[in-house]
Parts: sequence; C-alpha cells; structure tokens
Amino acid sequence: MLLQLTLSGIAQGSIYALLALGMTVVFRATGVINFAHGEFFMLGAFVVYVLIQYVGAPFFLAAPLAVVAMFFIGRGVERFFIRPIALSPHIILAMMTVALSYLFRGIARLFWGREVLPMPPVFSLPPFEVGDLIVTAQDILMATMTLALVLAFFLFFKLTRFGRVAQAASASPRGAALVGIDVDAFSGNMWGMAAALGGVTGILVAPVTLLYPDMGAQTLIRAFAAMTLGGFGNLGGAVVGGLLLGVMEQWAGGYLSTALIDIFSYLVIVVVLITRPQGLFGSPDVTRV
Amino acid sequence: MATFPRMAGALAILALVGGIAHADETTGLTKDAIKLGIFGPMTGPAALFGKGVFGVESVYKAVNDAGGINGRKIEIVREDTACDPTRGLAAFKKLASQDQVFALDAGLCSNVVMAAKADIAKSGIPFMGLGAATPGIATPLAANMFQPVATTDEVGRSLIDFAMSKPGAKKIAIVSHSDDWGKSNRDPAVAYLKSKYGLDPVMDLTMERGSTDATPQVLKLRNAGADFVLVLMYPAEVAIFMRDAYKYGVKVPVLAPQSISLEDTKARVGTLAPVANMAVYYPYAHPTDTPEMKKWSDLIHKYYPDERIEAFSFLGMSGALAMVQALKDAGPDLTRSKLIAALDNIKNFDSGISATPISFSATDHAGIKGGAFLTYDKSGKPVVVKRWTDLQK
Amino acid sequence: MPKRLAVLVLAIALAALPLATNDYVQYVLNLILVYGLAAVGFNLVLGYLGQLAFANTAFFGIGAYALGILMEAGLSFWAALLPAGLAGALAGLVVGLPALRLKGYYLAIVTLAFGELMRWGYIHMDAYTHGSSGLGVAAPSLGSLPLDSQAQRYYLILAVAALVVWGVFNLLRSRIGRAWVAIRENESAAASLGYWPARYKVAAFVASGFVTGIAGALFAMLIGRIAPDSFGLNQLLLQFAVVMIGGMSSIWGSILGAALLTATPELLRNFPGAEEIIFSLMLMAVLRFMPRGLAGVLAVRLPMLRERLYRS
Repeated sequence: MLLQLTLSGIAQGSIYALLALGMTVVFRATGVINFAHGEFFMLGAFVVYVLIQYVGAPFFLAAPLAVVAMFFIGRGVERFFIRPIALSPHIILAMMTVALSYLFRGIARLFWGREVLPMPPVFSLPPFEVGDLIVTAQDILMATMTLALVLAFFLFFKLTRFGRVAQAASASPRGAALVGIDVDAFSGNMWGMAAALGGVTGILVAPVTLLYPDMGAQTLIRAFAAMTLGGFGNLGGAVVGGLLLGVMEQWAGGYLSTALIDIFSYLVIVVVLITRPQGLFGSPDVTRV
Repeated sequence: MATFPRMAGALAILALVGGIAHADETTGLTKDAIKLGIFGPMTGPAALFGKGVFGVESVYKAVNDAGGINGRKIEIVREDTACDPTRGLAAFKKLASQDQVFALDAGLCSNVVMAAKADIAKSGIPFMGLGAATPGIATPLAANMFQPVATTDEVGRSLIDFAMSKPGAKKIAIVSHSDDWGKSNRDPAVAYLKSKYGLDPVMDLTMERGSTDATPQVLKLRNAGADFVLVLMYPAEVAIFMRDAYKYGVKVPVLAPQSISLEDTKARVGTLAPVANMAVYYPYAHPTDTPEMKKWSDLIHKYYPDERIEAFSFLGMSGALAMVQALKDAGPDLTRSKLIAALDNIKNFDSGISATPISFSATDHAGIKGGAFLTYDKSGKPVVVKRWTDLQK
Repeated sequence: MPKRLAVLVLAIALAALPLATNDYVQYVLNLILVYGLAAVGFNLVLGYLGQLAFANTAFFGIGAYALGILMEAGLSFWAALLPAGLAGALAGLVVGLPALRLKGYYLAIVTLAFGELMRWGYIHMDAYTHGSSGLGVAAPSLGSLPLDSQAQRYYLILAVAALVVWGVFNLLRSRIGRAWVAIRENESAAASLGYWPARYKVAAFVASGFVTGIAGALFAMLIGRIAPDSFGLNQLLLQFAVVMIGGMSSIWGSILGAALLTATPELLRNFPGAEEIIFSLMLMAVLRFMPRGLAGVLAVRLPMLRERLYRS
C-alpha cells in the first residue's frame, strides 16, 4: 500500500506543484500573490471543453488553442486589473486577485452553474499493472508533463535572455527600467505565462477532477501549502513542496485517518510558518530599518 | 443627558410590544390568484440541487395552463437561498413578510430549512418541502410543515436493509463527506446497522468535497474486505470514487443515497464497467428513460427547454402534485387552515413519480416510508429493484 | 445645542425604526448591525494596526460557538455573551503571539489556515458543536419574555453593538490606540518612541478577538442555528469586503460597508447569479478607484464629516 499511496501522491502532488509553480512565477516577477490562479486552472479546462463540445474541435487542436487563449487572458488581467494599481500596498493587490477569482467563478457559473461536466480524457487507456502497483496513463502524463514544464522553466529563467530580464525586473523594477527593459510588457508576459501554465494544468487534470466552476478554488489552498513548504518565491521549492505535500497527504489519509486529508494543507501551513517560515528552500526574511 | 431615562422607557415599551404579525388565514389569496413561495439553492455550491425547483414550477405552471384550481391561478414567487442559512432565512422572511405568500413549496437544503424551521412553524404558513431530506422537518411535528420525500433516516435505513439483503453480508463500509449532508446520511445508517443488525461498519471513512482522488479510501477498503460500500457523497466525488475503485480493481458492490444519478455517474466515469456493481436509492417508480418518466421530463422541457434533466429534477414534483390535490380538496372557499387540513388528509397519494405513495396524517408529516433502488441489470439496462436478491447478481 | 438635537433625532429614529419595517427588512437590518460590528473588530487589526491578518472568521466562529455551547449547557444568553467575547479574546491572544514573528503574506496565510483549522474543529468536535448539522441557539429572554421577533432582537443587538463600539472608540483614543497607529506607520520608529510593539500588537489581536467574538455571538442569536459552513472563506471575503469598501480605519465606514454589502444581495434577488459578479466588480472598483473606501470618499466630499468618520 505504501508504494501505491506514494505513486498516487506523486500524481496528485504534480497538480499542486504545477499550480504552485504558476503562482511562484507571478510572485517572483511582480510580487503579487495571485489568488485567482485557481481560476486560470478552471478557465483552461472550460475553454477546451467549449472548443470540443460546441465548436467540435478535436482535442489535439483544442488544447493548444486553449493554452494560447489563456496566455492572452493572463496578459489582459495584468494590463487591466493589476497594472493600474501596481503601486498599491500588497493587501490591495492580493484582494484584487481575490475579487478576480470571484468574478471568473461567477461568470463560469452563469454558463455552467448547475452542472458538473465530464471531460474526455487525454488518453483513454485502461490502467495497467507494474508488479503490485496500478498505474494509469493519466498518472504518467501528469508526472511527465510536470517534469517537462519544470525543466523548461528552469532553463528559461537561468539560460535565456528573457529569463535574466525576468530576474532583473523582479529584483529591481526601477533599475530594470533604467537600463531599458520594458517592465510593463515583461509583467504582462509573465502573467500570460502563468495563466498559460495554469491552463495547461487544468487541461491535464480536468478529466480526473471533472469540470465545475469551483474546481480551482478547492485546489488553490494546496498550492499555497506547497509554496509555503517549499519556500515562498522559490521555483524549485514550489515544485518539491507540491510533490511532498501530495505524498504526505496520501500517507496521512492511508495510515492515519481519511479525515485528515482535507485539513492537511492547513496543518502544513501553520506548522511551517511557526517553526520555519522560510520553508525548505527559502531564505530567512531580513527586515531593514 | 436628561432625556436618557425617557428614551430608555420608550425603548422598553416598544420592545415589549414588538412581535411578529400573526398569520392571516387568507393572506396571499385574491379572487383569482394563489401566491405560492418557492425557495431553493439556485446559486452557490449546491446549485445542482436547484434543478428540483424547475420540476416543481413546471407542475404548477401546467396546472395554470389547465385552468387553475377552483378558478384561481398559482402565482409563483421564487427566491434563492444559495444553500446558506443566513440567506435562506432572509429568503423565507421576504416571502412571508414582504411578498406575503399564501403557502410555500420550498426547501432543498436541509441546513436552510432547519435554520428557518422555528420561524416557518410560528408563521403558520402551509409549507411543503421541496426535497430537503432532513428528518428535522417533520420531527418534532409542526402543524403546518409537510415533507413529501424520504428523510435521510429513511434512506439510511433502506440502504442498510438493501445491503444486508445480500445473503451472508456482514462487513459494511461507509465513505461519506464530513459536512452536514454527509453526516445526515451517514449517522442514521450507522445507528440502524447497530440497532437492527448489531453490527458496526467495518470501515468508516471520510472523503471531502472537492477531492480529486480517492486512493487512500479505496486502498483501505481493499484491505478491509467489505461486502458493501455505502458512498454518501455528492455526485462529483461519487464519480471520482467509482473511477478509482475501478482503477484499483475493487469490485465491491456500491450503494449511493438519494440524489445520486446512476446514469450521470456512468456518464462521468465513461463506461459501464466501473458502475456495473452500483445501486442508488431511487425515490421514483421508473427509470428516467421510460415512457412513464419521459412524460415528466417533457413537462419540464415545456417550460424550461434548456434544462438538463437529472435525477433530482423530479425530486419535489410529487410533493407539488400533492399540494395541488390538497388545494383542490380544500375547495373554493380557501383558507390556510383548510389547506393544512386537506394536506393532513392526503393518504396513499400516487403521483406516478414516487416509488412509494405519499401519506400524511395529523400526527405524521413524513410522507414517504421506504423506497427502491436503481441498478443495472446484466444487459446494462437500468432497473428498479427492492432487494439485492431481485437481481441475482 | 444643534448637536444634541441631532443626537436626539437620531436616537428616536433608531428607536422607532421597527415601526417602519416588516420582519424581513428588520432581519436584514439586524444582519447589517452584526456584520458591521464584526467589521469593526476586523478593522482593529487590519486598519488600525495595519496587519494583514485574516483570523476574524475564526474569532467570529469561536464567539458564535462559545455562545451556542454555553447556552446549550444551560446558561442564559446574558450570562453567555461576555464569555463568548472572552473566548474570542483568548483566540486573539493565541493568534497574536505567532503574529509577532510573521510579516505580510506569511501572517495572512497562517491566520487563514487557522480559520480553516477551527472550521474543521467545529465539524469534528461533534460532542460540543453538533458537527455539520449545526448547533441550535435558543431565543434570548428578558426575564420571562422571550425575545423572538426581529424587532426585539434589533434593540438587543443595537444596545450591545453600541456599547461595544463606544468601548472601541475609547480604546482608540487611548494610549493603546495611538500606539497602534504609530506601529502601523513605522514600527521601528514607534519602538524608538517607547511603544514596545509586541505588547500593543497582541493587545490589538485580543481586542479584535473580543469585538468579533461578541459579533459572532450576536450572529448566532440572530440566525438561531450555526453551522461550520457559515465561518469559512466566504465569510472571510465578505467581512474583508465590508472593511475595504467601508474604509479601513474608519468605524463608521465599517457600518456603511456592512449596510452596502448586506443589502446588495437582497436587492439583487431578482438577478440570481449576478450577485457574485456584482460583488466582485464592486470590490474591484473600490480597490482601483477608492482604496480608502466609502469613508474615504465621504471624507473628501463632505469635509465636515471628516473628523467624525476618522475619529481617532
């Protein structure tokens, strides 16, 4: 059972990791915690659903289209909702994203309020056995995509020019602007990427979770816990945090009590923030007088 | 301030005099209309159950199209509760004090109805439940409140009886939500299992709303060797559980409570195989795809053509039909007391929808006892059965 | 003299209000008062102390359940009310201590997590809280007269809320209130002035816990039946919106915000589904154009009210 729980935990954890990664991207780039990230997740899935159900597009066409759509939605969000208040205190920015989250959910509910919709799976192969373990194509897809996306992001941030621009702009927007970096466009693109990432996660996961307007909100707190565990603002930490959280949740549910699964993320948050606020990989916060 | 004592006195007098206006026998009635209040979760996390409202409204609209009741048409006023006690209480108070309805056919969320019960009972407004299944509506008895659906107590008992009707069944496992709805389904089942059969559940697990994975629960069940699993959860989570049970090769028969749709679960998991061993408590006389039930689907589509029919679209309809019958029985000289008396007199009312007929009496307002189950036969067709052995699986 | 007249007129209007309303409208007004008081409590930490702490739903729920559990154990409403507030204050102490170590987003998230942990507690500590099916709260009585109607409860809520808010005003005018504002503006500078931050920060949480706990108790009495779901993230967002829209660090703003946000869903009853969208648009508009909330707007447009709105 341990191995099966761990495997399932990794599959679950990949979802949290991807979500946490998207949120960390935005946080690193623009200093904002995006409470609406769960809705990027939800919208990605719904856009694909709409394309498949109403436009009749095949999946391999609908999915990339949806991701591109999400990119532009993310840019739009940054341009119209975040940029005008970019200089406000953090609390205002955070609550703006919360309001956005409600807005998106309200809109989704307007169209699909009452339904819990099934989504055609990416692959529909039956589960197969590896020794004592049972694995589905979905599990493998999740884990592989997570690995691929994480690698892509790392390479992006460390090696490309754009990535270094990102580091500069997030460390010091003024300085970056002074050397000619278009900080506004950069912010827009980072939000776009985060939204696209959220959308991809949604598309991968929707066949498993089924589609409903609140689907993002439920998973968001797990992403938070992952970020907290890994250390706020640390990309690798977000991923490791997500995977660890997924596995620990499954272990707790399997060996202690299933009642703990729901509360586990909150426990992690409280324990980590009280004992080691910087998480596993973050650096301690130093306040300058 | 010298004025303070005077003000305090005025306040005290006003406080003592304050009180709810007493119910009027013909409030909400005019020469040609009966004002009927409906409330349910039209938005929010339980909006899925709001479908019941459309079914009920279709019944009343059809009655209007056929000429009304004793010369009066039914005027519907609908309010949203969002399944929240605060909002639900406001919805009821608005219907009662502002819209001044004659009667109510309302309430799908049990927590809302229970929060409002004291006020509803005090108001004396005739109240027909729309699908809320908490036993608290009819017990303790409120003279004006009626419940036309099986309570969660009844459902819990039926689930256990059905499970135990499988020869040799001893190990019953339960997976439920820890919220109000889940507990209200789980607690009576566990109590009944103990009191009638002297057994405890072999596994008593929780799975939260919004879970996307049931691995820990399924693996624990696999190790426990249960004869039956009761999944007392909302539709999305039931589907996820069935999918994961199938994934891990757990072939234990599964029972689900009222308001889980067998067909929908099958659609969500994709194929028949994962749900071949599943049975749901079924309050209706026939499966959805039969001519008898199609008549009712068509009725709903007549007034709400875009509505996607699910099992609980029909949930409140027998209650509405009973209400219509009672309104007719009460005669043209209609008053609230007469309506309540007519409702008390409803006996063996067969709406054509419910699996069991509705019966009320002056001392018992829980109209439905017992029920049936819907499951798939060997050819994959849904059938209604009363005992596990009926299917010889 | 005119000021006294204004107060008198206001008092009479408040006292006579139930004569102009029906049961439904009075209920909504009562809700506004309760949410307004909760927002005042929240404002103490959010607006005056300036800390991003989201423990208010926890305080609200603790106050509500404390009242419910004590009343079920046999205490009268009057005997249970103060302990409910004290339970909230104790919770404030529990939250306030770790809050000393955490800043900004960390504090926000840990307090949010605390609120959800409490909610899990309400669900699973069945023996006391009756879990998910909810805890019934009996009507309070004045001697042998049960205070059943919304009008009667209005006077009760008004009296308790007025008393608590009066206390808050005094607190804000005192050394403690001054210290909070000083800490909010520049903590290190405040420390250099002799205001030892830790003590005052914890005091803010305790005060917030007390006020919000009382509001929770009044809420429990008003609704008559409390369930864990009422104290989750939706409640948090609502209370936050009330404080933001009303205006941070303005007591009267909190009442205004509560009035607006409670009345709006009721007024939008004919447009189901629109409510969530309108709510978010309102919040966004305020965040974008009026970050100081309604109180801020009024203070600019009606300078004569400025001092009143931002007293202390």
